[in-house]
Amino acid sequence: MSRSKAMLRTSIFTILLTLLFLLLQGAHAGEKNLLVGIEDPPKTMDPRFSTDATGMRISHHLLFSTLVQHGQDLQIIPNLAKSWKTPDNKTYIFHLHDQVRFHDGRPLTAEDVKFTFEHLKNPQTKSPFAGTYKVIKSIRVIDPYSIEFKLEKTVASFLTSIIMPIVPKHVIEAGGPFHNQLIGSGPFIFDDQSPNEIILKKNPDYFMGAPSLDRITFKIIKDDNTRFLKMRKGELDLVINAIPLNKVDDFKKSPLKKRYTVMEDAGLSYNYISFNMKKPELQDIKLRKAIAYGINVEEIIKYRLEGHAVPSYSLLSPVNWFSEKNVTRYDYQPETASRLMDEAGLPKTGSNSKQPRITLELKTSNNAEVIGIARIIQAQLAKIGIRIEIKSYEWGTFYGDIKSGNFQLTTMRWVGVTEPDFYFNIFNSGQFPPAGRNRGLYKNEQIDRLTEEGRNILDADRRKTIYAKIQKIVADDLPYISLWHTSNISIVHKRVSGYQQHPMGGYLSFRNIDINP
Amino acid sequence: MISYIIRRLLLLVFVLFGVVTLVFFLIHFIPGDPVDIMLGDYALPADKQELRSVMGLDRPLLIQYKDYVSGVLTGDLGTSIHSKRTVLEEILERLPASAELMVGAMTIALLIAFPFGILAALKPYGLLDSASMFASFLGVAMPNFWLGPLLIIFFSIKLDWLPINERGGLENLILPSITLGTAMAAMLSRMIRSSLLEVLGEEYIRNARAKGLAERKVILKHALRNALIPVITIIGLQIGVLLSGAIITEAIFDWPGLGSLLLEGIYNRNYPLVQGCILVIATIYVVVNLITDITYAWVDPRVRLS
Repeated sequence: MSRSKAMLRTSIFTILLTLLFLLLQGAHAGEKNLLVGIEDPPKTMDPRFSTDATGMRISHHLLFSTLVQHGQDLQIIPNLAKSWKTPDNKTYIFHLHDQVRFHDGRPLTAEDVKFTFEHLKNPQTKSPFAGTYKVIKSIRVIDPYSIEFKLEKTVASFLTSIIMPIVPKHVIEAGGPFHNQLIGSGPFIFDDQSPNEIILKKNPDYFMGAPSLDRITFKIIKDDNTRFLKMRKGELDLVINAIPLNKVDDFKKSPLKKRYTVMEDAGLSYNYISFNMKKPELQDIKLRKAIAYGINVEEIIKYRLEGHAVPSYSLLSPVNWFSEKNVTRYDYQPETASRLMDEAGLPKTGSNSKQPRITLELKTSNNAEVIGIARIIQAQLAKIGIRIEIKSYEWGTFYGDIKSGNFQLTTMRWVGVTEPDFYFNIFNSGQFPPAGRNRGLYKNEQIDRLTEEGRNILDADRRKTIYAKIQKIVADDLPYISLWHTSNISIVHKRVSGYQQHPMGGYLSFRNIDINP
Repeated sequence: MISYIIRRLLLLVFVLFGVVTLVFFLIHFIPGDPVDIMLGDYALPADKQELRSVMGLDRPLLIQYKDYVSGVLTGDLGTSIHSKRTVLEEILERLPASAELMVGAMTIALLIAFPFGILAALKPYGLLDSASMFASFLGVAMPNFWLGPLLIIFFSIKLDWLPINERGGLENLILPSITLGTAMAAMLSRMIRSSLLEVLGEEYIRNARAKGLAERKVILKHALRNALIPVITIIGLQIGVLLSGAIITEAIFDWPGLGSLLLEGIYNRNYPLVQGCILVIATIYVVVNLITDITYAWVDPRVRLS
C-alpha cells in the first residue's frame, strides 16, 4: 500500500516537473536564439577599455558600429562610413550613413564620432587606446554626417587603427556607469549578463536591416571537454576556435557529420622561430638556412596539431590581400641542411655522426604545448647535427627575457596580424628593444627603407608592391623561420545558416545568421 | 561565552590584517602586471608606461599598500581592473553559487559518510567494513577532473538524465555535488568509523548496554554524539575548503563560484580582485572555525569556552 502510494507521489512529481519544463521551453518557443560557446568571459565589453578578443568582438561587431571594418580578405570595407576620401596624406573625410540610431533611439551623428576619439585620447578616460590616437591632430565636424580627421603625420595604417566603436556622446557625458548600459548602434542590443552567460537581443532598427536572430546567447564554458560534450549533445549552435584540436575530426565523422558543418580556413596567427641576430654564431645565413631546411613543419602539423594548420611562408596569412606567395620556401630537406652546415664551416666531426656540430639554446615559455613542439624541433635538428637545449621559463620571466633580447633562439607567435605595417615594428632597426619589438635585433638597410616607405604611402596597390618586396627579402634573409598558421575552425550546427567564418574569428556575419527549425 | 566570542572576533581583525598584508605583497611580486595583460604584446612600451601611471601602478608599493589598507578599513575593497565594477559587487555575485555548491557537496558527503561510517564501525573488519574501506580509498583516489567529466558522459550524454553544466535548478546541482562531495565522504566515513570504534570501547557504553538500552539508542544517542567531536572539526575545516577551493569542479561544470573568480583574478593580475577574494575567503575560514569551536561546547558539555 505504502509502496504504491510512494510510486504515485513520484509519478505526480515527475509529471509536474515535466510540465514545468515544457512550460519553460514554451516561453521561448519560436524564438530564434543563437547559442554560441566561448572559452572565457570578456574582461569587459565597454569598447573604450576592452582589449581581449571576446570583449572586442562582441563590442565591435555586435553591440556597436565602427566607421570601417575588416572585410573577408582583411581589406578595409565601409560600415558607419559609406565612403571616405583622402584629399592629402594627412587628411581623411568620412561620410556617414544618415539613418543610424543608437539603441536608445537618439541619432548617431558626426558629433558622436568626434566625441568618441577625443574622449579616448583624453588621459582622464584612462583608455588603453589613448596612445593609438595621439596621431590625430584635430577632428572637425563638417556637417551632421561628414567629419574630417587631420593627422600629425602620414600613417598608412590609419584606417585600421580607427576600427573602434562609436560611443553615444549624450550617454557618456551624462556620467554614471557605462559598462552595464553599453548603448551602441550595432545589430544587437545588450540584454543581460551573468558569470556564465551574455545575452544580446536584436536591434530591429539596425541601419543595415534588422537581423533575423531574436537573440544571441553566449555560453561561457571554460572546460574544453565540457564545451565539446555540450556541442556534441546539440546544446550549442556555434563554436569558433574553441574545440580541442583532437576532437575536431569527430564532427566530420558519423554520426555527428549529419548534424554539424566544420569550417576550416587558414587563420592569422603566425608561429615562428626568431634568431638573435647579434649573436655571432647566428650571423651566418648558411646556418640559419640549414635550421630552416632541417625543421619538418609538415610533421609537426600532422602529429602535434592534428592537421589543423598550414605551413607558413610569411608573417601575413595567405588569406591576407597583402600576402606574397612567391617567396623562398624551406620545405624539409635534411640533405640540403647538412650540406649547408658543411659550407657554414660546421662539418661532421670524425666518423661519429652522433656528435653535435653546434649547440644552440631555444628559449620557450613553460606552456606544455609549446614545450612539446620544441622537443619535436629538437629531435628534428639533432638529425642534422644541431643540438638544441630547451630552456623553459614561467611566462613573466620568459617574456621579460624576450623583450630585452636575452635569447639565442626562441619560438613564439604573433596573433591576429592584419596590417603589413607590422613589419616596421618587428624588423625596422629603429625598433630595437626595450622601446620596440625588433627583438631579434635584425638590421637590414633595405628593410629599413622599405618599411619606412610602406607606412608613408596610402595607395593600396603601391603598398602591396612594397610589402611583396619585404616579404621576399625577409624570406631570403631569415631573421625569422616561418613555421605555420593555425587554422580557424568553426563548428556550426546544421540548423544555422548564413554564418561566414572571418579570418579574424570575429562575429561580423552574425547579423546575417538565421536559424531554421 | 560572550566574552570568548568577542575575544575571538578581535583576533579575527589581526588575522585578516596579516592576510591582507601578505596577499598584497605576494601578488605584487609575481612577475607580469595587469597592464601587460590588458594591452598585450602589440602595445608600445610608452603606452604601457602611461597606462601604468594613470592606474597608479607605478607608485611606490608602500604607498599603494597604504591606500589599499585605508580603503579596506572604510569597507572599500577597490574596483576590479577590467570590468570597472566594485570588487565587493563581483564577489557577492559569486558567493551564493559557492554556498549552494558547498551545501550540495556537504549533503552528499554526510549522506554517504554517516551510514557507511557507522555500519563499518559496528562490524569492524567484516565484509561491510572492508567494502566501505575500499570505497573510500576509491573516493579519495578519484580526482575531480576525472570524476566530473565521467559523470557528465554517463548521466548527461549516455542516459540524458541530468544537464551537462551550469548553475540552475536542483538537477544542475547533483553532478557537481557528487564530484566535489565524494572525496570528502570517503574521508569522513573513515573518520566516523575510527572515532566511533574508539568510543564503543568505553565503559559508559557497556553501562548503557547493561542497563538494557536498545542497541540503536546506545549507538545513536550515547556513542555517536561523543564520537562527533573530531568529525565536526573536519566538517568545519572542509566548509572553508569547499567554499573557496572548488576551482576544478567549478571549471568543469561552469559553476560561477568564488574559486573560479579568484583564479581569473590571478590569471589577469587583477590585484584588487585577488586581494578582495582572499580577504573574503580568509574571513569565512576564521568565522567557520569560531562556529566549530562553539559547536564543540554544544555537543560536548565538558568543553568550556573561556
